[in-house]
Amino acid sequence: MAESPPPLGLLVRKLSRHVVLAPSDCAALLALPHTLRMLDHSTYLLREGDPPQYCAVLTSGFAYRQKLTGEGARQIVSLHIPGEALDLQSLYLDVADHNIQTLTRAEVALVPRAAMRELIETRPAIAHAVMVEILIEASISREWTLNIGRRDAQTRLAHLLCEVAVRLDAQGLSGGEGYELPMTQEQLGDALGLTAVHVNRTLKALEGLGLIVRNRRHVGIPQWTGLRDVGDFTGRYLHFGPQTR
Amino acid sequence: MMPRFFFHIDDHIHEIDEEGQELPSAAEARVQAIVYAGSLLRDEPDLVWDGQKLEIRVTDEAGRPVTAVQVSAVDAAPEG
Repeated sequence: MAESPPPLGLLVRKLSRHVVLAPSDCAALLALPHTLRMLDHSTYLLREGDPPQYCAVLTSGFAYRQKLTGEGARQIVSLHIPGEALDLQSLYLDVADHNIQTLTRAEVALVPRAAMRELIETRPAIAHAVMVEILIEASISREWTLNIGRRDAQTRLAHLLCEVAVRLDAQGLSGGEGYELPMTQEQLGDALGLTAVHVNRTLKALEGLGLIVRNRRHVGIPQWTGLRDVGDFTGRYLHFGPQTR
Repeated sequence: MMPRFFFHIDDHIHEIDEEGQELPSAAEARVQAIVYAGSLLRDEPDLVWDGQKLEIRVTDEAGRPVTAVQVSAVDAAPEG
């Protein structure tokens, strides 16, 4: 039987996509102290106003970042897939300014914040890789602002479907041909600034164009270039590939 | 279980909603219909151009009308 992969292996994979890490850097990442937790869907990993204590790494399942208006309306501001560290955004801030919740049943490796910061302080290549991650998260956030602010519903939804596909692909989690998108139409609406009714209509429209095939939560993508064009999607803002040091 | 409401569109096309949406109340369905009309118009302001009208008709599970949102635009008559 194959040995199960180390929980932080996906994080090593993700960080080393952008910056060359020496074997000792990878070993140090894998050796980070951590507690594994299996969480039910919708579990809060971080609440706005709380001091962040852990840097959670998602090892399976999906999670999202959200913020609430004073009246309780929710905006999902980012989605996260396995291998992503969820708390780099608050690694050097004292108080959380947003909420992080699991979207599905998910496993996380909780790395104490102090251990993560210490590793970054002692290993320049890891520091560089983490900086690149944080900047890419900011870039994705800028793209979402553009998407929600200036693109129509169909383009907006197609863009999100493309983004999740290529991010899953890059993590070696198969996305390009299609994937399980564990989001309700209401959650998609909260991410896209649309009503669930409008999300439903837009999904049907994309299906009508032959650009996606839905089977429960599975989204098949039979015509990648078509979906990419309708979604006004280019992957530049995801900054795949090594970044010059 | 929450009741299901269906949101049909009538403008230059007729679009029947067969899936519907579970919502807590008819009042919430009314709010959703208005917001939905607003976002459709944001994407396509021409929907109410030139005598066209946008109508969102909401029906309940029995097909009975619940509410309808109608948007139209009226231009001043051309001078001369």
